[in-house]
Amino acid sequence: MWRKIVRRLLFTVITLIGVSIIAFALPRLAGGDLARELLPGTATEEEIQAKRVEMGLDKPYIEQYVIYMRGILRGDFGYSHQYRMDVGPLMWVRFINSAKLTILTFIFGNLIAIPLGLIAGTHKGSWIDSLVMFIALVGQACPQVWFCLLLILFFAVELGWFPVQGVGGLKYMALPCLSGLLNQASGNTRMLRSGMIDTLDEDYVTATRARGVTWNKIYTKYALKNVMLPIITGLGSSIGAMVGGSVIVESIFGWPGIGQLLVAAVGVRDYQLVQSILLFQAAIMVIGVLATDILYTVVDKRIEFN
Amino acid sequence: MMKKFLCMALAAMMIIFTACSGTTEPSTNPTGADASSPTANQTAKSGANDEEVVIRMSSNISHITWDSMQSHQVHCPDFAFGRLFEMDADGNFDPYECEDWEVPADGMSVTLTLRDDIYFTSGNHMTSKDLQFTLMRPVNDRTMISARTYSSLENVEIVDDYTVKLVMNSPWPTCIEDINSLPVLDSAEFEKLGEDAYFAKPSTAGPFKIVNFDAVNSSYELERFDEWWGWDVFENPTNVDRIFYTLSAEDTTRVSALRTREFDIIELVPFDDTELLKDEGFQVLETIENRHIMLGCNYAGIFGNQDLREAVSLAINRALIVDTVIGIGWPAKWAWSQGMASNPNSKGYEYNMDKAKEIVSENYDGNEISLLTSSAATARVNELAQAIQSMLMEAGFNVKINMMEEATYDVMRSSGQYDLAIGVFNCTAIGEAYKECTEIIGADIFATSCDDEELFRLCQEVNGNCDFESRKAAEIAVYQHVMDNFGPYLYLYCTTGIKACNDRVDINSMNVDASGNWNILHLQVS
Repeated sequence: MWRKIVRRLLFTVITLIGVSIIAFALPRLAGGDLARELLPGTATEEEIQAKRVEMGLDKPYIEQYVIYMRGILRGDFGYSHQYRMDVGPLMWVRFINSAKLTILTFIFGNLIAIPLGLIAGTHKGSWIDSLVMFIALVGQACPQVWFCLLLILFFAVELGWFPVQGVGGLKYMALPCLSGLLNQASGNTRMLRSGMIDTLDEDYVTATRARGVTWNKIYTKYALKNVMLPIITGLGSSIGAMVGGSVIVESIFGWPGIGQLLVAAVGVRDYQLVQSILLFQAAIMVIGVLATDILYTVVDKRIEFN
Repeated sequence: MMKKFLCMALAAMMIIFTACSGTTEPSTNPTGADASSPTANQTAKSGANDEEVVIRMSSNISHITWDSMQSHQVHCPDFAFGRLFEMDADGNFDPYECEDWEVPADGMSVTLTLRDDIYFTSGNHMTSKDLQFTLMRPVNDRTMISARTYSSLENVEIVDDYTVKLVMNSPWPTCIEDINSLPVLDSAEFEKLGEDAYFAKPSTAGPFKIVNFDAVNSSYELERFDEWWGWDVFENPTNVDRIFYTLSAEDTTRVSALRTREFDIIELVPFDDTELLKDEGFQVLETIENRHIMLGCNYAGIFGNQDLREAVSLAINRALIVDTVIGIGWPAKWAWSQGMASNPNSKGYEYNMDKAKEIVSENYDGNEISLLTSSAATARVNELAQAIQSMLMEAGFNVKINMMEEATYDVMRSSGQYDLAIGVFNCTAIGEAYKECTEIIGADIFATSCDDEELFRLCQEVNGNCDFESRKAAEIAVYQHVMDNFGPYLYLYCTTGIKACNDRVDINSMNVDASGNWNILHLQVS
């Protein structure tokens, strides 16, 4: 298995090189000009060109790419002309901010989803099942923007329980997490319910019950293990959410995350910031998916790492 | 296995709860700022320390930069760096850091005399050397954001410890206004630290000093600078001790944070929220922004035809746009804001849809017209574009809206890839139209392909004209020509800035200058 992991890591490097090329090309293909964006609207073409020369944007694209990749290999992610600071530290702080939100959302989302999904799955067709599914469907259908604003108006403005925005401890993270939690919990609830229903229809469950094992033990000791695999899959996609951040939540709640940073960088064509964020996100995502695949094999011995 | 998984999950939660607590030790972030940011997030609400007056402010700023003080978004430099002059609501300049100045009639030099009692937060004394250093930066570095403004400046000579003489290579009529936008830098500290390190925590000479400038989390904290020269000079100086300033991009969030008293003052309040805030007892301040929304006409296309430009102007009901689409502002009656370059006798822009239809039917070939706009141009730009499209289509034009993000819009406009373009122009002082006459119109910065020789001749009469009355007359002539010929710009309306504050703030002490900016000098907070 270790050999397979190493081979996977080598493919990861190739993947990241491909991502770096795309990340380099995309903002340039989108049009726009960083030099023009940094100067006032009345700047002449000569001044814009002088700014391009200062920032090295007048060089051929290949040369710019090589310079950038050389910097990456040295741990230098470049310089953000918009924020007037090195990209690496800027990106890292924003990533941590996004990661905090995503981890909390993932944990609480599943703390809600697992019991609800199990209850719904074990009471298929009952009023409990209908109620849980109704809540889950509403949660998934609810537009996130609307929900975020609703949370602000109700919990912050009307009740005053939480601050409207800002960076800090748990109370500042509560509303942003709640907004992301709804969608995640809803989706996982439905997934777990379906998984539980399918698992309970399996022959081994019938046989286990025939041997006199109680339903509670069957649910928690036998069926739950099989139902947890989708949760692990969800972990993989949560990593994606973590590295990507949620632009909507971060913008509305003023949470300085990496998603908001990427959008702002794209807006002014802050090339090095955009490239580095995309590359960083891809690296985290690839490693995260690899970790998820390894976790599969740990949770379920029947699954072979490949 | 499940027990192990649950134990791991519980352990992870405990670690996260610990990590997320609000009592972490300050850690270094790239700007050297405190990562547990001392911004509006402090657990203490405004005024929690009974001896300290604290205010928290917010605006919709994309990021914090020192590059320009000309934006309404940037107050930090103003509060921290101070200014050479103070501008009043009528656009007149009064002594501030510069206690005296002399501008000869030919505009080829300006002599400035600083006060002798100004100190930076580093402890260094502000002298003519600092002023020379500051003013020569854009001359020596042509890629600085404000370098174009200083193109007339040749050299800065030191006369004595507090006096400098600016020597021009061409007349610079708006010198005083332009140099007022550049904060005086502590040259010794700047040379010691370098540009980026200096601006991470600058040495400043204004009433407040920078305690924390967190560019990463888009917030900053200022603290009263007790050694500031103005505390004993000005009557009723502000009683504020500490300022927290935080980005809040979303309008609803910003307004909600004011309602929960997380902020004391907010800017860029949407018009729709003003009644709600007033009903809840908040104070709302509407100020002239001196931002002009205009429609640029590309002479290279069908709008080289003056009749069609006239039809566009006739078809647009400016008053209706302001009343029903934007909600606030002033319909343009003249090709500029109220102020020195305005003509009070102007008849303004006529709205006449029937006449517009008649002109269109006689002159228009039916080809699709591109209406270019930026999604970030101004408030409700989407609705504005749709209203213009609707009005023009009623007149008989075939209009397609090209809504672009700002970067793409800038490229398309500068390369003339449009027929009509919604644009915004900010002027820095009320009524001063010098830059628009010489740059926007005179130099055709926005690529309208205008070939009106008479217009350019009139713009040249403004260019370098240091005689106030003569320049004013020349600017009026330029705009009269623009109005008579319906191009290259059709002015739509002038915007209003809305600020709001809670009852802690004495709104009457928020002095608003001629540019619509308010300064903190006399701000009183309970």
